[in-house]
Amino acid sequence: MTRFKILIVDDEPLLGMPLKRSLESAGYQARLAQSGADALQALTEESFDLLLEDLCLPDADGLDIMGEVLNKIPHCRALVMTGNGTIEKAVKAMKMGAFDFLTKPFTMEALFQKLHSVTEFRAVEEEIDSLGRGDGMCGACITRSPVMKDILQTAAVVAATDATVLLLGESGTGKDLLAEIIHAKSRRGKNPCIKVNCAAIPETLFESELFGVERGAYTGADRSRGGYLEASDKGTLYLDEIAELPLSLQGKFLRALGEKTIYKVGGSREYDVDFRLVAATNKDLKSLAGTHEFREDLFFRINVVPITIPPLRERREDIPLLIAYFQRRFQEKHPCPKPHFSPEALETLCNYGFPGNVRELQNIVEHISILHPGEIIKPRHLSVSLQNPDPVATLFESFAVGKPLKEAVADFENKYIEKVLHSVGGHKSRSASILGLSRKVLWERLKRIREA
Amino acid sequence: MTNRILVHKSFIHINGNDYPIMVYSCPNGRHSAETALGTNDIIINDAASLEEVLAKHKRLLPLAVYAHGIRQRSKGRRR
Repeated sequence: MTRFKILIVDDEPLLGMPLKRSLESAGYQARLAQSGADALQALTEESFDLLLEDLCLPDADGLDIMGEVLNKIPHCRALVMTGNGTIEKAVKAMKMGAFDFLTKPFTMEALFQKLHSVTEFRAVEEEIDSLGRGDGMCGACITRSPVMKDILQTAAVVAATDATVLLLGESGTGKDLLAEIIHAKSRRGKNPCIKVNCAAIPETLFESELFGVERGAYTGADRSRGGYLEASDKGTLYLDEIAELPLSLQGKFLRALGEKTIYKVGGSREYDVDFRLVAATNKDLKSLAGTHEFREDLFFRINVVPITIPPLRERREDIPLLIAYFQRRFQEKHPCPKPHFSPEALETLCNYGFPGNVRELQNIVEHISILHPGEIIKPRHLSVSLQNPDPVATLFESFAVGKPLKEAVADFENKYIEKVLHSVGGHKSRSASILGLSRKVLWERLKRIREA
Repeated sequence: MTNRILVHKSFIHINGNDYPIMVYSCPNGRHSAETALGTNDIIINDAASLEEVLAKHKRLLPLAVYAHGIRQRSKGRRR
């Protein structure tokens, strides 16, 4: 393995030489430049991984030298050293893209800590690069989690077949992305992937949207129109939130899935539709089939290859990697100095429950990037909700002990239902969706709570 | 699904287990292949003919067994 190469730029030999020796004995490769001119000369001779620079130089502005280095060696990171009176300059350096700064005098321990952060950051960047080089869209599934790697492998295998796939997992875990990957890697990849969110279509329009309409089917249907099934011919139909597929239409959809033929609304002509189904839900379809809220025969056909995507809290090892990835993506779209997450802020994020999963992390990173460009992110920069990691745990703490478990669980469920309902402004459909209940079951539960 | 006729029954050996394959012919001429991977854990594939559905079902079964196994294990971990 190549050793990490550091360019030290400091005009004080009493500091520069011992620094070089300490770094070399710690296993780094170091070169000392005692002026701006020396530093620029070093740049013409070799490449470096890190610039460790005193901003006050006799012959040049340290900021200019830093800009020159970062411009010439894009992968190089800069750690700037500054005296007490020049903190403003350090802040300016951070805004120009320095990784971090050290205030003189500093201990070698403090320096090694910063170096450790730089090397760790570089490792994450290299990992993202190698994942990105992998194979197109899979690069977007940034992960070092063995479970996620298994999932991606299963997705690659299942893509090559024409099997129906059921993607399971909480909101924001990446079900849409996995559906796209399965489609892209399949023989249907060059044909359309039609994405339909079943929860977003009013029940009265579902049939015509899915199956299409024949001319004259109803007043105003002045021409024949294809639906999502026809649009996904030779391609993939991705039905998100499939549990919301109206029960009244499930029989007709089952026929389309099994026979690959459809009748449009108001028509008697049969159309062939060669589509592959990828479905997704965050609900337990098996339970819904058990309570006759979802057709069992349809469930058995959808559930051929189930893939469960774990929530982010079960793959916390991916959090730093995803932060770096989202930062990079944000910078590509909106070039500005990127904020640096301090170890404490990273720890706060790694301890957070992420109910909104990867999507929530992406929003946090983008929010921080807009509000604090080039700054060092401390836990105080993160929103208050992050620092109270688990609202359920807080609610749990408020319970008195002394009740039988069954009663305590019922109490908790009731309080939780009310809390969710309150959080969405009393919107029952949204509450039902969050709670994973049907509107009917939620209504019955609320009735019982209010009667109690 | 009513009026179906059982037209084929066999077993397939995957990872030390034997799984039954039942193929039914439907009144419309289509065929459905069913396998119970566990209690109330059934998978169904459809195709136009017996040969076609058997080939499709046998090709997918190892992957289905693998995926259902992972699902069971992950459900077990969450309990």
